[in-house]
Amino acid sequence: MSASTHLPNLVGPTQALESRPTSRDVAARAAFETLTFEQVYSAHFSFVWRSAKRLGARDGAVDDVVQEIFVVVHRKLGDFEGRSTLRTWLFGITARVVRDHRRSTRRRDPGCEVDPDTLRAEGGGPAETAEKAEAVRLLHALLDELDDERREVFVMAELEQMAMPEIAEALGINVNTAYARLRTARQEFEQALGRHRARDAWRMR
Amino acid sequence: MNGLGPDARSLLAAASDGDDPSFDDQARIQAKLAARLAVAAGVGAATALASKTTAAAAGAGAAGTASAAATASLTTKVVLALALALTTATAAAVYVAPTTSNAPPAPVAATASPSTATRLPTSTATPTPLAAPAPLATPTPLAAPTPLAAPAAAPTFTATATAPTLPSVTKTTTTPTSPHPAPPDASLPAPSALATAVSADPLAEEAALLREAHAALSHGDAATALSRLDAHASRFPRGALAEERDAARVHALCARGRASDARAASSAFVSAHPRSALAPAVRSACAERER
Repeated sequence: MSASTHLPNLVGPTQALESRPTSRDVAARAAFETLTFEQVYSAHFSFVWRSAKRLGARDGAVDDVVQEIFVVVHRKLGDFEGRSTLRTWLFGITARVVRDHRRSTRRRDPGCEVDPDTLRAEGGGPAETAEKAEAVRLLHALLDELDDERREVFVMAELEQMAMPEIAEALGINVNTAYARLRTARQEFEQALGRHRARDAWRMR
Repeated sequence: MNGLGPDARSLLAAASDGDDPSFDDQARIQAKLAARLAVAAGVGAATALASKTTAAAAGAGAAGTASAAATASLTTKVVLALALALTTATAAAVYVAPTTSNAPPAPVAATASPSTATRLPTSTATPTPLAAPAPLATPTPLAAPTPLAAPAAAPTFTATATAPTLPSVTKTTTTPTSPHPAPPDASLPAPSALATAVSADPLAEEAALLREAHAALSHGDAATALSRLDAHASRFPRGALAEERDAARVHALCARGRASDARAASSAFVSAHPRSALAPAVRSACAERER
């Protein structure tokens, strides 16, 4: 039981791919099990929150979605074995909860897709400059133009700087697929930004 | 298409911390969660106790009477001892101990304490706890033959009971975990098996090379990583993943201990991709190694 006194190593080592648990595996798992929900919450709340927003949980829905995510985390934490990093694991959960949420809201109210141009950025703190608020608003509008799958890869790669193998693991996809999605997402993002700039220029005239 | 253009990069940079939560956000969600999970923990505790033995329940009951942290370790021992005595599989003991001993190191304990509290009433109120498991869905984990799965079942029930609004939670888990009671190890996807596709697609080829490099690097085999990266560089000098390759190269050089080469590669990277999202990680690559 000595292993359980060890404190959690948040970025888990990549274990050997053995199917039978060795005593080292058991010890490693015990170390991961000492991760408490509170530790995960306080260390990764920001990450989960902003990822949920960037994946498309907006305005009033953010609270609910983030809550759902942590309910799942609470339930699954015992299953987390440090095969991936905690962030990878959390992003996988976040992506799925947000996707489900978006699917269900779309079904309930198909006409409620917000026009990104009319969408106001949520009130930032006093420190938030107008430019920043505008940048966030624009970012969200452009992300909204990507489909869910590309958006997930794009957010992880470009905004969270996660490595492609990690991203593929979080989403349960092939690394090649992840690269392909990233490439398309970048192109689409660029194009959407170009359209936006063109529209702006036209308006300015 | 070698990554994002300068306009897009600067937008991402400008918006980078714009989605971060405020302190209020974090506190508000924490309060909501605490309420929600406390209710859940009540249900979960009952089930957990039911799935164990009455004796284990008595141990948990003792935990409830005592004031949390101070006695938590004692409780651990009690539960552990009982579990050892009553279950044939030692695996159960391995599992029980860390979960219970979570309490002391966690200062917040917001959600932990209600669960301990609710445990007392439930345990005393259920004289025949073995009958309880039935009402709560997913019956399999409770089956005695897999003692390892039994404690893990507690949190699962928790959420099933309280989160009916979240329809597909179960399938959301870590990839192919499908049969819950299966021993944890069996359910793990082999990361290396993720990608086996070989095709004529040059991107796939590029990706394969990079993947091998990443894999080698993560196993500490920087030499192999470098040779894969060299292969990529000679085959796809201006490939779609050139930016990723150059970044990986810096990391590999650091790992190989070639600090001055790494520094050169790093500054070459930064000047070639000044606005790359990978730039910060590249700049600090060697520093991280040394830590």
